[in-house]
Amino acid sequence: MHGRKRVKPTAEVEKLRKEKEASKIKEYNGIVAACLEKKNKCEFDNEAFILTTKILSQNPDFYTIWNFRRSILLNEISEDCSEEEKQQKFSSELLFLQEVFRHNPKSYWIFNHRQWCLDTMPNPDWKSELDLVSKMLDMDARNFHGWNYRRYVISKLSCIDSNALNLSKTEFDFTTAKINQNFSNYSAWHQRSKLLPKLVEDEQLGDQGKKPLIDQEFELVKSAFYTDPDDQSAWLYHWWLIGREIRHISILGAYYDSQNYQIILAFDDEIGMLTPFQVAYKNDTSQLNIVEGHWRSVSGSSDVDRMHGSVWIFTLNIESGFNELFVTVKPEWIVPSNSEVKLVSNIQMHCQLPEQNKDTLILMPPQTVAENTTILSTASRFREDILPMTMHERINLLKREIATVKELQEIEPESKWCLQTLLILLRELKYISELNTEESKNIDEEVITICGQLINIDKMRTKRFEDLRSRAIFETATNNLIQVSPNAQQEIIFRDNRLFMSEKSQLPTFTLTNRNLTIIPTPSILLHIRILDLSYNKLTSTIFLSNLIHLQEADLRDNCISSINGVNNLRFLRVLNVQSNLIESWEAVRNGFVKWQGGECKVYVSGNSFINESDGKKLKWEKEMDKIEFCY
Amino acid sequence: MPQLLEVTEYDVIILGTGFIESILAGALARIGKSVLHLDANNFYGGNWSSLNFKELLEWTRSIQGVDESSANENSQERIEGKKALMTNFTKIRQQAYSTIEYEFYPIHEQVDDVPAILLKESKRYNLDLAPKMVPCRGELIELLISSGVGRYLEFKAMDKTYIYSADTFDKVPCSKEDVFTNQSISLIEKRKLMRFLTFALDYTNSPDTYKDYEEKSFTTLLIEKFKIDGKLLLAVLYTITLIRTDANDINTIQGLEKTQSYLKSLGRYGNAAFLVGLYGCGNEIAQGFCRICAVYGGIYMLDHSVKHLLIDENSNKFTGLVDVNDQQISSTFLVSSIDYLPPIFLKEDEHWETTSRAIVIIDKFIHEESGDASLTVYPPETVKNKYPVTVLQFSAGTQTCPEDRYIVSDTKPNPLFALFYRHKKRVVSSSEIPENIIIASDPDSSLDFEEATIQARQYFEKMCPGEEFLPAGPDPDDEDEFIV
Repeated sequence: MHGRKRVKPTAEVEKLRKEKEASKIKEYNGIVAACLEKKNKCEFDNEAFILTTKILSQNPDFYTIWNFRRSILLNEISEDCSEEEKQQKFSSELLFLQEVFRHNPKSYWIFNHRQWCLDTMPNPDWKSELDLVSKMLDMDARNFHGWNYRRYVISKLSCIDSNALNLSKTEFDFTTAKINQNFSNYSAWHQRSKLLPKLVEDEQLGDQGKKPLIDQEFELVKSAFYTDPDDQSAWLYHWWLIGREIRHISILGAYYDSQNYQIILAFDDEIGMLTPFQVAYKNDTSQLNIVEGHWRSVSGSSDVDRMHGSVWIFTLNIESGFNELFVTVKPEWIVPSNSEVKLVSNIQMHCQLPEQNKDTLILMPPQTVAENTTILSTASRFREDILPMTMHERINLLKREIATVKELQEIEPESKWCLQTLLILLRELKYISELNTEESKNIDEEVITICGQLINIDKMRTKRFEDLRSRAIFETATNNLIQVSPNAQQEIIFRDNRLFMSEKSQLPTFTLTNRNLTIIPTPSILLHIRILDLSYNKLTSTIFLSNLIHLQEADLRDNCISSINGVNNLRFLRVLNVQSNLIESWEAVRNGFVKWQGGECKVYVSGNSFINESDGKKLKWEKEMDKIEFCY
Repeated sequence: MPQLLEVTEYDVIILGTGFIESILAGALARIGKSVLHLDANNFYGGNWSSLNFKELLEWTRSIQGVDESSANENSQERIEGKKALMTNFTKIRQQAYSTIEYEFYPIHEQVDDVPAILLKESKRYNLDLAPKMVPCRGELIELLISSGVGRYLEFKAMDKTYIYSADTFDKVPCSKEDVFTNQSISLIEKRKLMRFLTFALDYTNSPDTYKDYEEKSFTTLLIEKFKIDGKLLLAVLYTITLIRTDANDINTIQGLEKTQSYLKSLGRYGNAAFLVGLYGCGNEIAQGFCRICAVYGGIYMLDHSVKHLLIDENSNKFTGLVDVNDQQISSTFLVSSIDYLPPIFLKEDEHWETTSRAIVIIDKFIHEESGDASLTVYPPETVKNKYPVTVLQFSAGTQTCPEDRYIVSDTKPNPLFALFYRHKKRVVSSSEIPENIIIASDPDSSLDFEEATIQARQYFEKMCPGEEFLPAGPDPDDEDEFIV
């Protein structure tokens, strides 16, 4: 009430209030104890029912009591009870819930119980439920419990209503009204994203009819983020409208190492192995036989880690008696690193073994094996759920949206949502633009600039944007190492396998220094590399090195590395420079070389805080790792 | 036989039941002062009143009427040793108005007797002589809430504003929601406008943004700093800040203050910055305060005029008055509307702030879907006007007129009736006036009651220093708390 003076309670009044409260608590506890006792004794009588009413009116979050109440109700209606009586019972239950809801509009258990009642009663009145939930949302348009419940009611209504499309349309208009009242409403936008795919299902629309509908959505959401660029809810809807295309997982290369009887498989992303990939051979009899052996990834240190990674090695149990090898990878055998990437088809790799092995490494070109042709034919269709479009249309859409957001960004250079949206749009555009073109290079450049801005603006998420920037920098720098696979447009393979396979005088080298790199996003791309220079960056770990199985020299000077790991399996490593990093203890260096597989190797460690000039000698030779020479 | 008053001594006599007088009546009675409140009219509200159609015609004729009593002007008598100054309500009131004239318009050939129709439905009209709105956050609304007077009143939200330019009306986006849904401004303009509104709501916290413009005009700030121009500039200047003069006359700080108080009014009662009173505004609010006065023992007499004010010559203090029944009534203070002052206190002045007003009854909405109440602004030079023209439109939903009738202060659809007049805000030279006479101002040209409310409070504080101004009154729903 307005205009009432608040009188500070005197000590006396306060004491009385507390006493009153204490007696209330005592009474409540008494009821709860009585009710629970009845529950334990399975006494589903009317007295118990009244007790639950008393408790739940005061504390609707006590779900045990709701459960008990349901048991009582079920018990009552199971006895010879007419349909009418049942209906009557549940109707009064719904009235009770309405009363409880008034005091507590955000309790999960009230909605849960209401749904149970409606699902259990003989003749639920869904239309009146819809009216009720509309009233709820008039009171608080942002109560997500209400929206959730609304979807439930609508799903029931659409089962009984012959014109489900019409229902979707009225629902869509309802969200429009709520958004117009206050567009800072995640629930309303979300509801819209659920309804839009249903609206476009209208067969009469056709692809041409869908476009104006979707464009209208873009206009609406644009109007929202131009009005308030700081409101995240509209941006999220915009992101949903743009959508994220699933990126294909590619096998960059596959090789048979005839000296070590190993198959090497490099993916362009980390995967988990659910089922071992199938390896088979043909001998002279031309019969296909399964090869026994075991798969492990080169990354990680424990056996658990070895079932996850981007470079995989299969060691054959037999060493001879075959002249053809086959490897098969199926999508269902792997777990992608996240929901945005996916292996879309079966891939088979195959090689013949020459009589006399000149090369130790034999290429096994990956071949996409499409089990059904639909995968290939729809591969270039985007946003199937709301507006199917060709790649060309998709590119135009992304460019249009980029232009709009950029226009806003010019007025609001500090808006982080604006910049983040640009990142998303550019990422999508990059994914469908051709590799190694001027355009993809420009996109990377732009991403790098935007990340730099975001690092300054959004201090809470600096690391995230540093990682994103590293990804763009790394992708630009490694562009010349890969090419589009001739088999499938959305897959990539190594550009030049000879780099990996032959011992050239000019060793494959990769240099990317002084670029603020915090991560190496896809180290498998560097599989060929023998000389690596990543000095003067901000790398915090050396674990990615495990993927560079032919690495000979690594320069990681002036980074932020605090310990050495991922190197003990690098058989060809001769030089590792970790000078001027953040290594604080001798242990952090030495642990990296436990079970060292390689030959003599020089490790440069000066400029780290654990080095003390005076005890340098002590470091120089450690008995158990006599092949490692620690140098300043 | 006229009924004479039993009590002839009061703490305060109040002449006129206009807005300011009524607030003072309520406030003074509330703290225990004995109050006698008189009005020469047979309705409440004085120059702030809302009249039904018949009353409006009578009022107009009385303003137009020929003055018969000029011979007695400035005449002085002596009554019981006091200087008795003669009042002349009708004549003095006429000074507040000029060029008043009205006209009926036949709308259809078959309906030729428009006056008869309007008179027949007369009682369903509540026509404000000085139409105003109540900002949803501000002096008056807080007073209505804190004093409890708000309980006697009903309001509707005024949430549609239009601006006129080049023969079209655009709906003005005033709130964030308006900006979002508005179809007539571009995305970039939406952003510019929101940038300005966000800044203005809390401008004192970003002084760097406007410090270079403090000496410059508000228009310069909008154009140079916020790149707002064209129609949008006019909209901000004339519909958000509701400037009543030429925009170049107000500086950055004034403009920001006005914008801020507008923005603060949004969101409190739905998506509107203003409320309009049901059954008319000025009259209803004034009556609400009078009711408080009556509850606390104030005595009311309408249609009761005053003959003389009595002044003690030695002290030049007001001591009492002689009413229409020749009864002498004395009081410590006199609060008076200008209409009741003796002519010698008042010299007509061409510099008085003058507002041209029109009351027009029309047969359909000016804007489709404009709702029960709407505001339309014509910026300067759009209809050959030097100053902005503001049009308030009311319909039956505001209980100010019958259905199918709309009241406006300018015209476009078919008018049935129009009354035009100039309304002056008179200023009284204060040197000769006894200090215990408090003079309540006339309605000003603004669209709200804010200045008048502040003035009422200041007068109260001057009369009763240290006393609480209109503390919460009795709750009609809670009789237990009723303590007199």
